[in-house]
Amino acid sequence: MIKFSNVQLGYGKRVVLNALNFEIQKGDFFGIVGPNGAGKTTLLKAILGLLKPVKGEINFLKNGKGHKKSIGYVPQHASVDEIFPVTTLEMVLMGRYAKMGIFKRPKNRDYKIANKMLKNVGMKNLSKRNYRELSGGQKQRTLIARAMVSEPDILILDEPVEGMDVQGEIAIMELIKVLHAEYSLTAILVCHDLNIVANYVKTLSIIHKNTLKLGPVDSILNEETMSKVYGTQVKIVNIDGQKAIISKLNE
Amino acid sequence: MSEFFSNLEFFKYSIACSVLVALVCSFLSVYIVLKRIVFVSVAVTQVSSVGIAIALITGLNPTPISLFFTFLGVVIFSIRFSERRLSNESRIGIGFVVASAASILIVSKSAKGIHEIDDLLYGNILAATPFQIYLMIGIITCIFIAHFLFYKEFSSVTLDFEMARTSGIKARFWELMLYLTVGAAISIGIRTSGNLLITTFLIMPAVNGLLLANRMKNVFIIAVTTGVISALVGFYISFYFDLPTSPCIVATLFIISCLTFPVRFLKKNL
Repeated sequence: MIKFSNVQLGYGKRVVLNALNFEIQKGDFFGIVGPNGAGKTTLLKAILGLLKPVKGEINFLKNGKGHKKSIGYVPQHASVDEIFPVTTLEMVLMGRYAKMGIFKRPKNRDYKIANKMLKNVGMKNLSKRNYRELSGGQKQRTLIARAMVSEPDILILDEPVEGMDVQGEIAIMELIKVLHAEYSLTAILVCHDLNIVANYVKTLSIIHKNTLKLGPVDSILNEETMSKVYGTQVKIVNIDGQKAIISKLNE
Repeated sequence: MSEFFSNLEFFKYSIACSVLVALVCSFLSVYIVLKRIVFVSVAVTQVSSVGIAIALITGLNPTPISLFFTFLGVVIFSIRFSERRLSNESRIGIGFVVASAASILIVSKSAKGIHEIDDLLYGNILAATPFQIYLMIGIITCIFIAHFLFYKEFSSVTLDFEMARTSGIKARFWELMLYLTVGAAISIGIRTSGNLLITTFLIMPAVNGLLLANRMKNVFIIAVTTGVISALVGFYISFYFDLPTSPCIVATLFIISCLTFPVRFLKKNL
């Protein structure tokens, strides 16, 4: 679906990520983790098309052929300015603007899709509420709905559970899991919380020393690799089938 | 009041000019405040003054020269540099002070000297001619048509530039178009209204709208209404007390803005 061929990413002369050769398969649930400053945002920007590779190519493929990318992007809810006076429904409708085309106004079909998506994310009863009056979790749901109404092939989420309590984190991740399955999406998730990523994604990629290590989550998520990446002793325990990652305090 | 109306024939173009500037700048102020580019608008207004300064000393028509400088400023300030050592605010600040100094230097050697610096700051409402009014009406109509047709695009790049880009909207292009409409509004009003009044209309009306309304449509209505009322009331006060027009309009708009706070308090608590 997305193919990186010998890609180098950076800003000016500063190389952030090098020799990226990998493919994100259709329908995958792909997690990107790494320490602060490792290049998670840089990689995300490259996938979104906001940053051109210094070297190499990033191709969007469908049935092995070049294909116009269709991305639904969910930014961190804190990055969307609350000064804007729009309702939840209006915020979601904005996700359809590119699809409507120039000179066109939202039609019944657009409202129908937006309302359906608000229902899917559990926000139908708040559709007339001002976006700025919503809680963090409700804002995140709204932004997920906004990304979904563009009917994307790929859903990209940047730190979707940032600043939420445990209950909120689980609710959002469960919602993403359901949407991923229901709409046969390719989901790409950037998250600094290893516990979240480890229990939801299929493929895990870890940014370490300017490059990417990736593979099925069970094969790549081990104590040795994690300890090396984060520079501290990391322990992975299994609690009722769920992985919990604990870092040991430095003595 | 009757004295004012009896002199209306003499002031009609000046009043029309103030109202038109208030109308278009108050409307655009909503985008400026929402997009948090207040400093860009202040700097572009100052760059536009450089064009007026050149027109004053050369005797050329100020509108096209001002338009050229304004669009140049718009293009320069809308470029997003990735240079980490120089913030956008510094770049805009430098543009503002250099443009201010340049416009003062340009007019300082003119025959009228200090009076022309006053003209730059406060405008010259007597410069409002029938041709100027028709030109303003034409350009303002184009601005409103563009905003009616491209509301989706302008609101998208104002709310969430990156989302707009990733969703397939040509965000850089539409952002530049939005800035050009602001530039056009500044250019047509700067000669008659001066940069003090233009800057005021590009900021304060939107603040009133955003404090009182919860929907975009209502924000636009309140911003434009308070802007136009301030222009009319301020003009009348200026006539009645024989005071400079621009500061009177600014003071009126400021008083209206102050009144929005108790209105908002009552709206929230009743």
